[in-house]
Amino acid sequence: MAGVPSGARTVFGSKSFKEGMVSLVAQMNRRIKARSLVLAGVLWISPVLWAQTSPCDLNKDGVVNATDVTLAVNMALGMATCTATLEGASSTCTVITVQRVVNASQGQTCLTYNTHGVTLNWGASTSQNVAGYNIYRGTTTGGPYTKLNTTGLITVLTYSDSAVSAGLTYFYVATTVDVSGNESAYSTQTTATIPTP
Amino acid sequence: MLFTPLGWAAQLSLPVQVTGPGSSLVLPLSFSPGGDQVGGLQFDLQYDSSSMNLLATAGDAARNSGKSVYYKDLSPNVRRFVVVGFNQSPVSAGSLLSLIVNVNANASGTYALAFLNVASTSTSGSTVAMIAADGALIVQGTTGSRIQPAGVLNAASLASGAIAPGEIVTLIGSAIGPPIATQSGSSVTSAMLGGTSVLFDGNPAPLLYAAPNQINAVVPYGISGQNAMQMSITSGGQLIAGFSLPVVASAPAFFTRDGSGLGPGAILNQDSTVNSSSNPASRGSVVVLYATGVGAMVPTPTDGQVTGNILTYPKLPVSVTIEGIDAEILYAGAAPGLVAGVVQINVRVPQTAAPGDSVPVSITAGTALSPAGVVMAVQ
Repeated sequence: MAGVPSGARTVFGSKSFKEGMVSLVAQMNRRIKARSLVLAGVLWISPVLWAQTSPCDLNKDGVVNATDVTLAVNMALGMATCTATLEGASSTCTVITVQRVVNASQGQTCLTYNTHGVTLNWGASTSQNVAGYNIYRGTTTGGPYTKLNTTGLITVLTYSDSAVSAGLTYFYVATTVDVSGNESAYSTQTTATIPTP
Repeated sequence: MLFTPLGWAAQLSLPVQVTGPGSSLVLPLSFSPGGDQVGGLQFDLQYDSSSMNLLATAGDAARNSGKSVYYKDLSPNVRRFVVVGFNQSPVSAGSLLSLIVNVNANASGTYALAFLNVASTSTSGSTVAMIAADGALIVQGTTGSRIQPAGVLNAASLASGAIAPGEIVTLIGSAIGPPIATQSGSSVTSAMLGGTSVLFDGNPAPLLYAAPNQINAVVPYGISGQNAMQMSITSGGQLIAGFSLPVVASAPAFFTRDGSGLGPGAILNQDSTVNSSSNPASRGSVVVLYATGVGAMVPTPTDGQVTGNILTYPKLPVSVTIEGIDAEILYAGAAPGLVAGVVQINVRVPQTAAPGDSVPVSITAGTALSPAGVVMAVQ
């Protein structure tokens, strides 16, 4: 049966550590009982919003300036390997890339997508025979959810979701899967609102 | 009758022109924005490099909208051009580039000048549809002129136009210089390089560099006060090209870091380091700029002399603006160690100038303003 991981802390909500954890354990126990699984779900899941380094910061020095513009031009000319991904997968940068870098260097938005992301952290299940975890995402509270880790179980306690759009709110849950393929109920839902832009 | 124009898209175009073998000609590469606000564009130009060589300089449409022109040969017959600027200004209609085409002496027939991979962007960075109309050169008849008046460029701005006393000029043409590139020494200039001479009203000009398709020369100070003069090029004592050129009192331009006449100027900060976006000049500090084309000097320098202890000063009033703000000039005169014709200007960066990586700078000598497009970094 699940136990409270030593030292685990929840980073969301306004309740104190003790109250929050008791509440979560109670919820978890109710779900486990309802689904007749012996496997405990993850105890908590928390999002950490993050912003990628601007894709217009081509030399990744933390600032988009004339040096990046020069680099963008060289990429467009084929004099430097195109590492910009503003237009998606391509080995050739275009003037559109250059112009976006120019715009960004002028304080304008670097027009692109996925400039933000969400990293989810959760506490380990204390159940026996845990094989890994699944992370699900929905765009409405309470689901439905879509599994994000489509290539296999997650075997660590963190997952980064970079396929998010500015201004949208996402709802995440996690489950635990044992070596027999049994999957726990959803964990407590957690929410992440992506900043704009 | 009313009608709606179809396909009112941005467009690039080159003309179809007839010329002779061995000639040099200047083709305008024109741009029309159509109904769009085009912030930057890119294209490849396919041509027969075995029959001609190309040199491109920024046209008014690029220069006036603050765009720089970059190009690179992707293959022997394909040159890629990227026209972008450190701004969100739309490119205006007009001559985007001037293509100086030097046709080989053995060329004959029709040669396509074809656009490939045309792409453009709006001022906000989104894709803009653009069409292109190819051009062509029809080479036939007798040998044409090896250089055109439009092939006489200010060496700093690479802009063509009337020449001024003491201006350093770059001549672009077809087989106008010696077969092997030759340059003058650092401490002395010559009136003949590799058997080539350039004469202005019969007076030999100091030559700094001479190659098959390019000659760099200093316009003699003696033409001051004239409205026009005759420029001629000789090789081995034989006249190979000549025409009349208009003369003006001044045609100032700043030298730039990459020699293109656009973008970051060749500017030193107060500590003698090169001004750049990673090394901007502080407001209130003094920077050093280099220019040519400011006109007559007092006293009149000896043509081709490298400036030593005797400093000369522009006869015309000179002013410099940084971000459009008049900058205090601490020195404007001959540049020690450099050939007469290059002037050095020390100015204080205005305290009120807005910081930026690409702050525009300009110089006025007399009534003539330098071409737009030169910038510096200010913090």
